Amino acid sequence: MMLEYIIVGLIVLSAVIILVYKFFKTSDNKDGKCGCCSNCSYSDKL
Amino acid sequence: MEIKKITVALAGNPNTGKTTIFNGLTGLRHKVGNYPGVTVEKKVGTRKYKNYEFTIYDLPGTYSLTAYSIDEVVTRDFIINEKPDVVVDVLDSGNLERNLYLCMQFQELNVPIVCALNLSDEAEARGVVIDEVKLSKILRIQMVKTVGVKSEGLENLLERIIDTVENSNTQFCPSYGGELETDISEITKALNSDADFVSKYPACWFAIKLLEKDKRAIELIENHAQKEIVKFKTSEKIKRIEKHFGRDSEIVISEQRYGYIRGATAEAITRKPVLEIDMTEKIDAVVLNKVLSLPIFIFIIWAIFQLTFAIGEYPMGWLETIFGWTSELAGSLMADGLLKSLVVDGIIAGVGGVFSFVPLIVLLFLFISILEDTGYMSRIAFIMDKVLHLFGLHGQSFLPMILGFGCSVPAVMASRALKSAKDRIITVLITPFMSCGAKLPVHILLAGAFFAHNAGNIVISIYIIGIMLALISSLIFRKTILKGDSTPFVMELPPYRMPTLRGIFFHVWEKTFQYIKKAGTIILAASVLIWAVTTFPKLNTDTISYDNLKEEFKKRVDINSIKSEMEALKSGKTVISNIEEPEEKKSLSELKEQLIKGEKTIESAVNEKIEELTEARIETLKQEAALEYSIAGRIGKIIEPLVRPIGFDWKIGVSAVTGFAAKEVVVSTLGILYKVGIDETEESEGLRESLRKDEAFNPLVAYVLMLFTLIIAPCFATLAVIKAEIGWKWLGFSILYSTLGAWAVCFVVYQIGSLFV
Repeated sequence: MMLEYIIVGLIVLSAVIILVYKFFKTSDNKDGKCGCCSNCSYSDKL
Repeated sequence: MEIKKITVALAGNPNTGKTTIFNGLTGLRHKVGNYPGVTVEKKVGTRKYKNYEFTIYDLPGTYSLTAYSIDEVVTRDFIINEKPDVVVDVLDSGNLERNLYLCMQFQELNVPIVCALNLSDEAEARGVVIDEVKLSKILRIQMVKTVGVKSEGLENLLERIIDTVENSNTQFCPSYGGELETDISEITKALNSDADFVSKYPACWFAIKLLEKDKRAIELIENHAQKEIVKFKTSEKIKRIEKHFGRDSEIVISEQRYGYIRGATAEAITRKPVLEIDMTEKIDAVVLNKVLSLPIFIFIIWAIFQLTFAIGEYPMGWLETIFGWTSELAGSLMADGLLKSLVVDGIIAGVGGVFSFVPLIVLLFLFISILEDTGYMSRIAFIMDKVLHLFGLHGQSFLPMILGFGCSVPAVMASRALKSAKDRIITVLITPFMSCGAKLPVHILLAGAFFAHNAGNIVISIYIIGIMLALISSLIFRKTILKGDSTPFVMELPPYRMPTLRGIFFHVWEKTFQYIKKAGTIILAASVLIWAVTTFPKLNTDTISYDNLKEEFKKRVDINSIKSEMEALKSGKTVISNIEEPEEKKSLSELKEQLIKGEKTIESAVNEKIEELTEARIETLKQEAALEYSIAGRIGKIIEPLVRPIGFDWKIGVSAVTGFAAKEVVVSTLGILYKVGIDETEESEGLRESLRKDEAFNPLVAYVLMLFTLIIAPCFATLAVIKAEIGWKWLGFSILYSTLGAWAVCFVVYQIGSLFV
């Protein structure tokens, strides 16, 4: 039971990290892509 | 041997095939389209050839290097600041006079140039024969014939680049003749007095820009050591030119450039008479016909949606069945508990719901790619231009709007091509009203569930409402906060081209891959999170007594109707073969047999049915109580008073709001929330069936939810780009306008609709 809670907790935590990472990645655009589609390569220079 | 590095900037007019040449040289697969404005940003790729490593930049297409639009500034600043070793100017061989105008400006900038005479096969078919050796000698620029789509002439182009870099002849400024030449050289002389300044900005080019009254050049001259002398000389020369020619100095310079180009092309180009009218003209005579153009356009869009739904329905159904089986399989293999709930109700329900739409996405983008690659998309912009002007929009705004049907992120960025800041802001604000690809699964799900026989028309109506809202919003902005007239626009109509299988495949693959990738990352993560907020904190429903409710429910059951159902079943009046669901069919057949054989009486069958219905109802109530107790339930209850007037209960309200992460997440959330109340036999029926059976949903609510998803603030990726393009203030305005607008439109539609439904 405890182990199940730990596994589920870790999965939910990973999901939160992925979403937060994607959000800041999009806001920063440091790698030049928002990850939404491949049509753009947004750059801070502009 | 040592590898030598060469930086190449790929520039040229819009729609001359720069991105095709870029892809051919670098082996990359960037989006290519047969309409102007595909590249709004510079892209970079590399290529190794012989002992050289080429770093190639694909710059946005521009007609000139004035500082009118952002993409012109991007190209110009890149060449001045980054100083590439060579600029490859990609020219449309069929429109050489107009294309060479930009080439002249590169020459003024004093950068080494190689010209790719692209689309040379098309030009030759139209009777245009270019003597590239002669033209090369006249203009003192290396010229290479290329056919980008067939990768012809690319190696020769690399050879010319190497030759130009290794034997670069600098300091050649095109001659504009007579007194104008003297004016330019006098300003150049004054500019040369500041060595630092001319090391940054080539003197000849800068002198011409000053005579053209270029805004950016006038700003930059403030940094010149002898700025007063330069300014005095410039003003004196402009006065002289304008007095002498009787026209604005900018126009005079432009006329001189064209004169120079005409002279060169007259020597090097011969035109063979082509007897038959070219295919493009024949097609345009029909599709751009004053009367026929709009009906043809509407018919094509209608046909695309009908075909997408008619063909896509089958593979979509298969995928739904596969996910139903997967869900049942996972359910039977895993022990009851949290993990099983996460996998079955969270991941499979959430991601599976979104995955089922892959066939429709493939089909829709297949048709859109064909429209793009043939060149019809540009005609659509041309057809819409007059309509757009009525709403105070720039004709060029239609290109970002069309891109918005795919994804709002590149669409918002494409607004950079607009020269006026007001036009740009308006375009960015209205682009999210175009129904993007991510909103499509929401529309398909709801239209399929509640308007099965008219799904295509219903989805088209949402798209049309999106376009209408964009146009009306533009008119409102133009009349209030962004007053002014829309600037005129000349739309380039590229020739029709037969789409290549390779091109279409890459477009469709790219879109599909991105969709699947998104389902596997953002949507998977969002599904897990939504499952967590709909599961925790857990409510122990075993401690709650439902005995009173059971009795209450049993009293309310219509016993007579169940009794007549059983009698009809026994007498054979109920035609079991008409029942679609296999499980239901099987259990009814068994019951019929038992009734006929006398193993069960009508009374005992009625009592069993009442017991079954009561248990199912109590199970639903337990799950609903648990859901309301969860975080999502509590949030939902808080927002419920706000969404009630538009017909939503708290569950629909929560689903609509989660679209902020990505619009497809609305489908995932519905998938997770509406697993509640579905008994085991119904699990494989899919989300559409679950929604149809839910009391809170009806066709009107479904339509309002589609509208709400269409109009409310876009996903966070788009919001981030809006902020980058037009700043915080307008981002705030955009969120407020679209959210309040969504509520207001949905309120009106729901309240009026309620009168009839």
